[in-house]
Amino acid sequence: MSSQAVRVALAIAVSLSVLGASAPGLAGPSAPQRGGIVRFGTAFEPARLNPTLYPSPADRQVTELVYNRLLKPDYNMRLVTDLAESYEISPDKLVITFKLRRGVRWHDGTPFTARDVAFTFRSLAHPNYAGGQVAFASAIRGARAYRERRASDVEGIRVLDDHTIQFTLEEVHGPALANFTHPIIPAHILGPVDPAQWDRHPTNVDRPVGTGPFKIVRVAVQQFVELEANPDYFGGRPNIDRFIWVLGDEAALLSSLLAGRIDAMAVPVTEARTVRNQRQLDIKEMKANTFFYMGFNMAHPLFRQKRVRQAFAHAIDRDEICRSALQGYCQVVQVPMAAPMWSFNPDAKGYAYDPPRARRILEELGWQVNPSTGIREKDGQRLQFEMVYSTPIMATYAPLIQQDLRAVGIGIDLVRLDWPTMVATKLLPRTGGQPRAPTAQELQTWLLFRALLLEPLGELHYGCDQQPPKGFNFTQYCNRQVDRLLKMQLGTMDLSERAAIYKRIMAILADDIPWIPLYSSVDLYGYNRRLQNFEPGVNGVTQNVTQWWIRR
Amino acid sequence: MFTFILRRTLQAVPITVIVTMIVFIVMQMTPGNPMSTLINPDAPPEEIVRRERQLGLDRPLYVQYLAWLREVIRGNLGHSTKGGRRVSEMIWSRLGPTLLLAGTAIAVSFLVGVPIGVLSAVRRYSALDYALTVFAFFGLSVPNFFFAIGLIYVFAVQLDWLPAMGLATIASGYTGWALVVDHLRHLVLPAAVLSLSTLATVVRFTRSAMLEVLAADYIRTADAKGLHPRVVVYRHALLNALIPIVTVLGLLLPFLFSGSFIVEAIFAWPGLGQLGVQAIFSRDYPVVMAINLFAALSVLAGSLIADVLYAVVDPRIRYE
Repeated sequence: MSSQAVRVALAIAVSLSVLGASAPGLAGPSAPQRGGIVRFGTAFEPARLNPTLYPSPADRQVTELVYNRLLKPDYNMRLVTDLAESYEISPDKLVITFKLRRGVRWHDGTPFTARDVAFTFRSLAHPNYAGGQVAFASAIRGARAYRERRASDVEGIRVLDDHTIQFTLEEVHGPALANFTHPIIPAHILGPVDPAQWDRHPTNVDRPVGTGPFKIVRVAVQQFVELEANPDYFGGRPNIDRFIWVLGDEAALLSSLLAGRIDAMAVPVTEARTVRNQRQLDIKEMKANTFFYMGFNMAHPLFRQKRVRQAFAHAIDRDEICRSALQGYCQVVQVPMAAPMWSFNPDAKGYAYDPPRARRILEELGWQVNPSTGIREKDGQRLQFEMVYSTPIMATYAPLIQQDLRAVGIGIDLVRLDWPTMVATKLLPRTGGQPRAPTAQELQTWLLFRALLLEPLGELHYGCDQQPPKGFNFTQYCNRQVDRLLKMQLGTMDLSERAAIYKRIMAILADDIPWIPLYSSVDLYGYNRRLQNFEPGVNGVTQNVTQWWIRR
Repeated sequence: MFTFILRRTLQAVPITVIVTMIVFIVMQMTPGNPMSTLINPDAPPEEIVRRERQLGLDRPLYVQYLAWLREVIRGNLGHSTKGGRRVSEMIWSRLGPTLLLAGTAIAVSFLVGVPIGVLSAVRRYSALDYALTVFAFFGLSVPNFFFAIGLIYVFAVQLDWLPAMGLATIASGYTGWALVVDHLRHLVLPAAVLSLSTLATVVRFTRSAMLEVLAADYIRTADAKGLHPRVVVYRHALLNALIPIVTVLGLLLPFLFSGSFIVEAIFAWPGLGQLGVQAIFSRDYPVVMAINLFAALSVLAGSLIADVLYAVVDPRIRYE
């Protein structure tokens, strides 16, 4: 259970995405020119610039330009060194030693050392720290004791010298390396501040100090976030002089993109054609690390029956959702996993769109259509459920699902809620202030997505012991075999071994179908052709930002 | 007059407290809390509860309200639960843009609306009156957002004359006059949208008030004794027709401070209205409370100013 390694943002926001199959060199024959400003539009405003405090996708867009981590994912999501120069894993897989880059400086000129790294991970386990990223440190030996005030320091963190740091783990931990993708924060600035007060500190509000390719110049709330190139960046000075996140309403941003006032933005699928029709604009189309699904609450006795879930799955035409609501910018998947992930299983067998079969299953279970309502009934009980969802894109296809299910005699009441309401009343209701799993009356079916970074985090959603408040298994699914496999992959750091186990987990979930996987999404970035070398990646849209340049 | 203002100001205190109390309760009854939007798998529910305790969200409602009230009396509006920024700083930085936008809209509405309304009343049932009436109903009935998108499409996208969003060109490097012109160019579209409906309101009110006064005996007397029509309309009629117009002004004043949620959002105008919408969606309690406090105070101030103006425009009204 100590594997809550890499975060999944459930927030309603643009997802981080992965480089698609195509990677055309748009740079052309001319060499990169230095200078210029990139204005990048975004509808989501960053709120917290300290990356240890509940980073949302919008926050991460900015902090990724400002901070570095020990390791970072490359375009293929393999971990490569960033602030670390090299690392070594002991034969028993319990001790990881990092050699750090020399000569790196914080934006204020202070040298970066191993003490900053130790400070970052110790802070995540600090008793007063409540920023939600504790999982990045919890595999380290002694982190729990420190958090529970049973120890004065984290035993497993050792600074060997200014440029060497050693971490000792509690036990062999699958996602251990992924934990070191957490951004490193400056000890000389935040060290004297109580972590409970970090949210009010200037480094969170508008003056973050990092080691990254850009420094913050100005945060103009609701207008823009302006950054300038860091001339001393260890990865080489960026070609562009300035990077500006321009904040605004999607429609207004789109008109700015068309008019050439901004250089790039995430474009909704409905506007792809408009952007493509402009000669000066182009679109980068990427498989995103996000998938959408329909969930069943197993607290409902009917949903505990696999045959009922199968009938739902056979009834829904997912190809049609993809084609009409998403204009083809998506990939229908049979497993609850984003297509670019290492844990994805492309061969798993799911349930094809087959309404007659859905009807047959329901007939066999004794559900007969009431001719006056068109809804099936049995022993006075109606096959009628609520389906809750939140985002605008889901609103475009929720009625399609309702129609498909209606066609086989299942009634669905669509309920759209704003996100905090959906969380508080449906997914994580409370009793006496304590979050708990939802009852069958509170939650029946829902539409949701998972935006992944590096780790699939299946245990958090399917683990038998991960019901709220501990984890996110509000589905209340429990399958001993899945549980065992989830634990097994956490016990090895060999990624190919973990991938093989995950493929088995995915095959079971595709068959057992606690969630109906809908599709893995595709992100579109519209950009002006004067912006060169623009290649968004898994690490976010600014993966290769230092190589971007503007043709004049 | 002075005692009247003093009395009204003192009356405002309990009203403000009651308003903020109601807002506080309604806000807390809304499902979710500031932490609901931050939920993510690194922050499992038990971590969220830990932070809620740090923020004091687990305390009884009345304790939370009294704590808030005590800090407000000390002049401390608290920190945003979303980003940690000082609420006073957030309000202060949005006030300028909102005053500029709403102030422009109100000024345009009265400077243009009152003469149009007078003209419309004087030439009652003429072709001009019908044209102006149609225009006024257009202004009242077309939704703001629709008009806004139409203007953006025509002037920003098709003609490319004016910018569609923001307060100024970002990182333009403009100074002096160029900067002023840049701000004005950004102001044109949102101010036009915001003016439309208030302008239409002012036109309709002015027209009906003028019609009533123009039918009065003393106007006939003034006409009969051979006064110049302009003197009759502006000196005798309009001054007496001002009372309902002042009422409209009093009602519009709060709008100066609370801003227009929709117009600010569409044009990415960084004002109080937009701040309010975002604060509600993220359940940012301290920000929502501060904006409501502001709105309540400006409604009270608006009606007080209107009452004082009544006495100015109508000598029959006296406050003891």
